[in-house]
Order: sequence, then C-alpha cells, then structure tokens
Amino acid sequence: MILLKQEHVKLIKRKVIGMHILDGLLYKVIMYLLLMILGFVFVYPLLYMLSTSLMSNIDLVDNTINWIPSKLDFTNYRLVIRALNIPKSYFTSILIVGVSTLSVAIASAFIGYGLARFSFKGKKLVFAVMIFTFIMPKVLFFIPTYQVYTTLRIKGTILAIILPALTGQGLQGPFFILIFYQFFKMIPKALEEAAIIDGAGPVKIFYKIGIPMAIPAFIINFVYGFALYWNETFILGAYLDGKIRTVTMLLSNLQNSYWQIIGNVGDPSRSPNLNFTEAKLFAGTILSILPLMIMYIIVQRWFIESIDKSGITGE
Amino acid sequence: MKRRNHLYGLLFISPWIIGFLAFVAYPLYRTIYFSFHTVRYSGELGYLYDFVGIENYKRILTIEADFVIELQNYIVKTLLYVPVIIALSIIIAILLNSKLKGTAFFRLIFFLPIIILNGELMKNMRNYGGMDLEVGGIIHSIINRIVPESIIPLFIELFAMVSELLWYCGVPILIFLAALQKIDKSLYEAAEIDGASFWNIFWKITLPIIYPLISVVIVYVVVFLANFDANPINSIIRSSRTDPSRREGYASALSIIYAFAQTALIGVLFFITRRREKGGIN
Repeated sequence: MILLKQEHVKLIKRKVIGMHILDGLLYKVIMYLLLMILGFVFVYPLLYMLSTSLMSNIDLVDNTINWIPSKLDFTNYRLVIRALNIPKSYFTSILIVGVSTLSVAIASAFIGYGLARFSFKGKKLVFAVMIFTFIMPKVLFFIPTYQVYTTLRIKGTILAIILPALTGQGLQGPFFILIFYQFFKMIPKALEEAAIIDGAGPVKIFYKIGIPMAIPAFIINFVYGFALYWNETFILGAYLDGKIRTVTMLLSNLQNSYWQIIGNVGDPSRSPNLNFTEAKLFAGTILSILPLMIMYIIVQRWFIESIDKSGITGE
Repeated sequence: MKRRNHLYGLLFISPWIIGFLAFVAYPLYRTIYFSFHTVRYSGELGYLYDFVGIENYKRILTIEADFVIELQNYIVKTLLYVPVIIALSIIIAILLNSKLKGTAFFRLIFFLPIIILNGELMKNMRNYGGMDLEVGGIIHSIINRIVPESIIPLFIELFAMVSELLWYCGVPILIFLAALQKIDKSLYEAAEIDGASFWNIFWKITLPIIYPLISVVIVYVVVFLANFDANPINSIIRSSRTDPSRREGYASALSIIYAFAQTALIGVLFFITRRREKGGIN
C-alpha cells in the first residue's frame, strides 16, 4: 500500500517538476509568470500614456475614471497634430534622419572594409581611438564644432549633420564601423584571392563581394541608425540650430507651439478641454514615436535575423 | 603587393582619418583651450579669448553648485543602476532564451527601447505619472493579498524604478541573449543528466560564459546614461554655452570634468568586475 502511494507521488512530482528541471510544469509556470510580470512593468507606462492620451480633460480630473476614458476623445490628437505640424514635420524628419543614416552606412561600410581586409601600420591605434571616441561624452566635442560650423556657415543646414556621419563620426559611429568590420572579416580569403587572379581591383572586390556579404550589417545600420538619429535632440538640435526641426525636437517644445495654435481653435478659458495637460503631452509623445513603431513592426524580423548573424557580442 | 595593400587600407579608412581630425582631435584641442579662457563674441572681431587659467574649473568645483550636484547624482545613480540593469537584463535574456512558447512576442516587446527610447519619451513617461502604479481596484486587492498595507507606497516606488530601468535594458538584453544563444545546448543536457539543478546550471555554466560581456554592458550603460538626452548634465552644459556669465569657456571646462568623471566611473566598474573574474566563479 505504502509503496503504491510513493509511486503515485513520484508520478505527480514528475508531471509537475518534470523529468529534467527544464521541462517541468512548475518551471514553465514560474518562467511565464516572471516574463508576464516584467513585461507588464515594462509596458505599463506605454499603456498608461496611450489610455491617458485618449481622455478629455474632464476625464483626466475625474477620480472614478482610471484607465478607460468615458468616451474615446481624439481632440488631443487633433490639436497636437496641428501643434507638431504633422505630416510636414514627419517628412522633414524622415528626410533628415534618412539621409544621415545613409551617410553613416556608406562611411561605416568603407571604413569597416578597410579595417577588416587590409593590414597597415597603426590599425591597433585606430581601434583604440575608436573606443576612446565611443566612451567620451558627446558634449566634449560639440562646442568647438559648433563654432567651426558657424564660421563655415553650414550651421543650420543638413550638411552639419551629414559631414560627421560621412566621416564615421556620427552618432555612435564606432559601433556601426565595428558591425561592418565583423561582417567583412567573415569573407573567406580564398574568395578574395580568386577575384584578384581574375583581375579585380580592391574597389571592385569591395562592391562585388564585400557589399553583398554585409547586407545584415546594412539592415542593422539602417534600422538602429534611423532610430538613433530620430531620437537624438541634443546634437541635432545644436547643429541644426532651430532652423530644421525633427518631430522629436518639436515635441520638446510642444507646450509653446500648442499655445500658439490654440488661439485659432478656441478659448481655453471657456472650453476647459482645450487646456494643455499631460493628455496632450502624451498624445504628442505617442505621435513622435509612431513612425518608429511602424518601422519596427515592419522590419523587426529582418532586424533580429541580422543581429543573430552579426555576432554582436564580439564587440 | 604588401605596399599596395597598405595603401588601399589607408584609402578605405581615409574618411575616418579626416573625420577624426576634424570632429575629434581638433575639437578636443579647442575644448581644452577654451576651458582655460573666457570666450567673448563681438560682431566685428568674431570670437575673443581671454586667458584665465584654472578660473573656470575653480568656479565649477568650488563656487557654483549646480553642476557638482548633478554630477554627484549622476555618479550615484549610475552606480545604483548598473548592477540592477545587468541583473534584470540577464534574467530577461535567460527567460527569452528558454524553449517557452511566445518568447518571440516578448522579445519584440523587450527590444522596443532599442528603437523608440529617447529623452523626451522617458521624461514624459516618468514625470507625468506614467510609471506610478495606480493602486486601485483589482491591482490593489492583489497587492494587498501579498503585502501589508504599509508597504504599498514602497511597492509603488519599486515599481516605478524597475519600470524605468527596464527601459534601459534593451541593448543589454540583446547582448546577453546573443551570447546565450551561442552556448552549446549539449552542455546543458550533459549537466541535466548529471542531475544539476537549475540554480547550479546558472552559476556553473551560464554565468561564467556570459561574464565577460558584463564589462561590455557596463561600458554601454555608463556611456548611454551619460549621453542620454534626459540627463540634466547635458542641459546644464548646453545652456551654459550661451549663458552670458559662463559662455564657451565655462561650458568646455564642464564637459572636460564630465568626461573625466565618466571615464573614472567606467574604470572603477571595470576594475570591480575584472577582480571578481579572477576571484574565480569558475
């Protein structure tokens, strides 16, 4: 009798805890629970922003309303779209950020190829300097650069952003160079030698063999670089000098631009829903990251695939 | 052939050399130069520099307190944040690396900050209640079951902190996850057959393999927090540059002190993790 009971206990134990630790039910439940809790804590602010951005100002002060607005109110979005000058500012941002990202990609591919496929004196020094520039805060270089731009009269033009990008000194420049370096390093030596025997020069080998090998590096560069430039307000704000504004920059000035456009819409003292509140700010924040979200959803499969191929950890 | 190789190598990296000279070496020299001068601007003469010695540094460190306070905050914050970010990232990376269904969805979510995180987003989420858990209704009753009433404010504090830190974990998770995916699965199977517990496997296999990457993550996180647009030090330096009583000279001195502090911070954190490596978890 007792033996039988023990047998039962063992069976139940096996079902719950599993043969190995890694496939038991208990283990799975704990893992899912942890993932859900962390995921919830992480997503919470985004959901909160989304739900608040759909509330009217009356809902906002109503204590009985916590998460679900009494009715979906798109006034916030309608007003903030005008204050942020959407869609025009979207196009400006995409243009500025896109051109900068493209410049970074071209430069990083070149430089990464030079470092990966050729031996020359001082290569170690180049790597050391790249690590140094990566570690140093960006504020260390921007004051004199700003002066030079003023003197050369390219401050406030797109050139001020593109020039550093084209020379491998854009935002997180060393990172992108190293990504390309990783991929070019993987080209088999034999392939290169065969091309040399066929009479191809280094430049031809670069774009006939090198570029196709580095497609994942380009994907990482386009996606991550685009996001970096889109999110940057300090460097872009300083060099573009308020003459060109991306959506993220406009967002940091939302309250002012909101009051400027509200005069044409109505009187905030009569209709309280027109007052500037965090609901408007949240609507603006969501609008400013919306293009990135859409891009992320579309490209995430290739992006993650490329990261898997890159061996990013070799950094 | 060797010589040509050499030349082509230099040709390919020549953009970087130009960029380094124009956007790193020269500005660095100028920043150091500025920091010992007071900079003025006049319409006709352009920029004028008056040598003041270490006056700017003296003012920053001994007279005006705004930067020093923020610098202290930054250092303390970083020292507190880095271990938590690393721990959270490792836990999430292990969870995402498990054979559970639905990890692809969670990976999509946790990688989100790699794409959408910026200073404005973080400020707006943090400063306007986005991270304050609204303890009401269902959530309240759930929490109340677990913890006594008096701990709830502490719990909300913790929630807000973890929520913010999770947003900084995007790239660290990515780095750890990439390392975990490279670990040979047979290693785990062998350990399981030998009857090793999950706990043992973590300490004896997983951690030693991903340990070297902790240094990489430290550098990344410290640099990220330093350059993050929501970091008040960056706005102090930016506004000092145009402040008539401070101007470029003062701002340059600020950025140099900042660079030193940041490098020291990385050095210290690096040193701590290095020593433990030798101490031998292995």
